[in-house]
Amino acid sequence: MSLFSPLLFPVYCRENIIFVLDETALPFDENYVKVGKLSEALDVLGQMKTRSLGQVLLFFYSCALFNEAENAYGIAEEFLKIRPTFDFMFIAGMIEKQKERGVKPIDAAKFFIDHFDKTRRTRAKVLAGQLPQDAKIATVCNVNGELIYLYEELISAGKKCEFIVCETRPYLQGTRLTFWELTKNDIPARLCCDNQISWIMKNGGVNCVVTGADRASVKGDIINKIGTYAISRAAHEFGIPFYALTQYPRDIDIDTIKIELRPANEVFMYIDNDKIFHGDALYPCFDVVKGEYITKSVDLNNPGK
Amino acid sequence: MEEITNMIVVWGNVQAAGFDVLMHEDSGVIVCEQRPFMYGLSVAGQLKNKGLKVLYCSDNALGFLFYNKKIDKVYVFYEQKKDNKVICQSGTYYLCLLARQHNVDIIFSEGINIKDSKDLCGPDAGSIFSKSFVMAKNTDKYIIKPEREEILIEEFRS
Repeated sequence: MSLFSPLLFPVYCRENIIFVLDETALPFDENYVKVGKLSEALDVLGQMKTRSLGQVLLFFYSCALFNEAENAYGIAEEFLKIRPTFDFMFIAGMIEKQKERGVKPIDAAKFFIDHFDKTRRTRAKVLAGQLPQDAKIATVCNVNGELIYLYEELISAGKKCEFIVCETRPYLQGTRLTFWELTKNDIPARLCCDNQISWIMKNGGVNCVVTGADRASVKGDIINKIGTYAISRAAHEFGIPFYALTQYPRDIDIDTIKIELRPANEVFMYIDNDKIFHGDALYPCFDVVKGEYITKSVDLNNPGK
Repeated sequence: MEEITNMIVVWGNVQAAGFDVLMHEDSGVIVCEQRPFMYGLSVAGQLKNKGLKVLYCSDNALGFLFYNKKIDKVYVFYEQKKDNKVICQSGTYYLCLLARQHNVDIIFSEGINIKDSKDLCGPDAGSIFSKSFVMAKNTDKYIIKPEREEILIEEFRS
């Protein structure tokens, strides 16, 4: 079995140019935006052209290529102005530590990517071992191709699976990214509106949930895409196990992390201007989910724990 | 965010009598888009025109708002009532479950039947108005059709 999604590696670097997969153009176009300076990196981040793993890779490569800031912490400060919820300072710390050891940021980025890919495969295998024999997996947003790895591991373990993908308004990352990459690889998947998921769970259409996590605490709390909290509460209501794919849990109080509020006009994504509501609107980008609603966090660095 | 407090969620397709009820509320109202049909776009505009303070959001932001204790009350405008149940549009159970989990009162009130409504968008997650985002062929196989949801009133009585 050889399945692939461009979302597995949404950002790469070649000859001092960063190429960023424009996730806002998917599923219709697979375009890569060229980034040659820090301001361009910040632009693609602000325009939501990349997120999740893509923003981490963009940060790594920005630290390697752009010297507007004295060190990685300076670049992290710039990234944080755009994405306040993500822990760029932690990644900056990793890079600075490598620099102290004489490792160049570009080599640190390459090491990170290799290590990340190997460990997410391991994580998929561990998780596959825990999911039901006939897994009906609810998911939200997008975890950069990792569900493809999970599918491969489920099949090789002799299990069956189907993904129930929440569309993830307003940017439709569920529809445009996850549902697209799954169906493109002929992986069984069905799509639903975000607000359908509780009813589907009540009627037995889901028997486990797998989501990503943008932040995680050592206490087991996570921050993930808006909509994750409601899914976790519905899953808890019906005794459905909820698995979070985490990385680098920190000793933090998750409630103190600033949740990114995106511009109000983004609530109306993909709606014609003559149909939108001209008034106040709110788009919080992320939800907090407390550990009590998470059955297990499968962490990148210690998936078997 | 601090200025958003004591909000009322308005869900469903509100009819004339429903607007009258809401006019007597002092609080601001939250109107969700209500996928797939997007009734929220119409309801939000109508409530704003009647002078109510309206905040619009996607359906999946409801959890965030409940978690942050921004919601004091929920109005569900149902399509039909049958004995101890109300028949509602897709997504109502999602809202009611969150409300109950956060000890927020739900008021069930008669609304407009979907088939009587104009402004239809949808009919499912495959599209928004006329825009389709599903590349796969044979979309019926790939999309979970929204159903009318039967809500047992007793399950959500405070």
